[in-house]
Amino acid sequence: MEEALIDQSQAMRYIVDSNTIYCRGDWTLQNIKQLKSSFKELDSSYEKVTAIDAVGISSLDSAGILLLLRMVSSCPGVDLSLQPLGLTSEFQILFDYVQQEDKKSKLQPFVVHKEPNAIYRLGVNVVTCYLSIVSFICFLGELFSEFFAIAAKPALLAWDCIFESIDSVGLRALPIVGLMSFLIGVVLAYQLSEQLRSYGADIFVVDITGVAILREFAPLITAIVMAGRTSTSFAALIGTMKVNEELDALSTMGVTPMSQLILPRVIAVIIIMPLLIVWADIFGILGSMIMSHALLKIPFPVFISRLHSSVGYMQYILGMIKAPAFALIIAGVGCIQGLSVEYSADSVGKKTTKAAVQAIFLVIIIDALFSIVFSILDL
Amino acid sequence: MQLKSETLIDIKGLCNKFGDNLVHDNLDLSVSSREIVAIIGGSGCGKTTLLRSVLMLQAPTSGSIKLFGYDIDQVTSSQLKSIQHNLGVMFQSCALFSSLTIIENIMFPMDHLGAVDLESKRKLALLKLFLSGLAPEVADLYPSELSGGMKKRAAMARAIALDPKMIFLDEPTAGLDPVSANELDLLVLHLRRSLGITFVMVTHDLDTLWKVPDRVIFLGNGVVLADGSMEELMACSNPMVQDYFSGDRAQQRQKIGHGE
Repeated sequence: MEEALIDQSQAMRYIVDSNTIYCRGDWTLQNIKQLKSSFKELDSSYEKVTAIDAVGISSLDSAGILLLLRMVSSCPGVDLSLQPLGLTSEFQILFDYVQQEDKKSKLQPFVVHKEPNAIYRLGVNVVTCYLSIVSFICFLGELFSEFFAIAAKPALLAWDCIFESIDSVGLRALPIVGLMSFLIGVVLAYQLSEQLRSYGADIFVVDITGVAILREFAPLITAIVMAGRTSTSFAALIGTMKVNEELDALSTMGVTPMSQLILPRVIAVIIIMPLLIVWADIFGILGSMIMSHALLKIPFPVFISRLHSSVGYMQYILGMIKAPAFALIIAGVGCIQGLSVEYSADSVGKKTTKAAVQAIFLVIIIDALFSIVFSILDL
Repeated sequence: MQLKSETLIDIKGLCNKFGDNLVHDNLDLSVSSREIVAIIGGSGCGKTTLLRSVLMLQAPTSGSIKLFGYDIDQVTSSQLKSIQHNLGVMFQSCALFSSLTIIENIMFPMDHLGAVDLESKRKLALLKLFLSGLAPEVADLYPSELSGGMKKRAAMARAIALDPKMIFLDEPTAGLDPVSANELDLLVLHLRRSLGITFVMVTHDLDTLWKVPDRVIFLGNGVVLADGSMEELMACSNPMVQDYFSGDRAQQRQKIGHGE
């Protein structure tokens, strides 16, 4: 084997006197590049070949045979029925077989797929966008009809799935949601206290952070964490089940994936979302309270009584109103993306990413819409 | 790769233990070049574990496994690479990469040899496609667009991509209709004859067992209970082997088998 490697540069030699190409060494896929380059060198140096001597070939595989065949067909003035001589019987069988199969491939040129142009891609994107809106509306319709159908017979609802989802989606999200809103509270109070101190308006830190956290930050931060955590996990779970044909299995048992998998998850998220927002409210306010105490020396009781008197319950309720809408988006987008997975592992990855991106995007859009509506209503 | 011996697989004293469950208990087994060997046995007798051990997917509890004469515990990484290039595997569920087209699937193992240009790879991959009996129209389809039988053939094409010396088949005919299963049996025999490939298969398909393998190995109680041709196995007095072949389906098949 060592020897053969050294000799690779002389894998082919053309001897003018006998009009013969001598082949030797390892004619295998590993060496195909060197073989090809020595073949190219050879190309220009001869005029007529009457024989190919293959006695020196020490190992041969189908890649080597393809090259040999190409050599035969591309030599100038060569007889196409020319066969390499002196192959061992084992290689000869292989050679004959590959030659016979290779003839078929010549009849079949390869179809090369053209890259679609920009207008085509734009069209595809517009249609996809339109279809995804339609499918979301269909999904909501199906979800509600399923909900009312099952509301008549609550025993059919997959209660264990609801509780399990509440555990994985809600309970296990408590630390991260709490930590994030605490930090937001801290940062907010820190930034404001610098500004407010210069105006001597220290106590207003309570009003501003209170409104901002209760009304905007707590619901939004919770929704974004949930979009990242929950939408993706729903999409991946349902997508993998689809690839595995588990959804088809459910359907054949007369159980729709909607009632068994999706409705319980949507219900669980709708239950858990307001609770998580309350949790986020508490930690956000706590962060702001601690920071106000540290920087502006506002005592905790003063902070709380100020919160009561000047922020009030309305801000809290306005924040909570968004919860069901966010919950529907987070659970819905995850499930829709999961259902739209095609039968490949690649598709599961793509749809999971899409679930996160779409859910976060829609949450922010809906949040903006709420702000507009609230301002029109003078709330 | 230079073969150190004509014995491609040489297993000595293989033990595999999961918790308290002893799957293999001092199992010895060998496979020679150009042989077609079938491994059979009841459920849970360690066929798959044996395959996984030989494929180096799972380290055995104890014992030695030699592939192509190299002890797989003591090979250098370059030897390991060349051993792996000489092994093809066709998994039960095909395990084709779902994000790649069929031809890309076949070209995939070639990519890892380095220094092979795209044109050669495509041409070679197309050849492998023909060798496994698929039409060229299939080349640019995705695995999800193929029928079960075609997937098996595509998996076979990928297994022979690097001209391996030995191919492992895990339940090659499972889930196939009789016609496709028969064609796959013929393909195995054909590939052995033309490419000189050694096959090791795990199968329960009695038609395949009668037609394809030179030697059938019966696993049970963690050891090889019987080893020989199908006729020899049918005549074997071991009660577990008897049991295996005494089902109605086996009996019927035997009648047909002898009638032929």
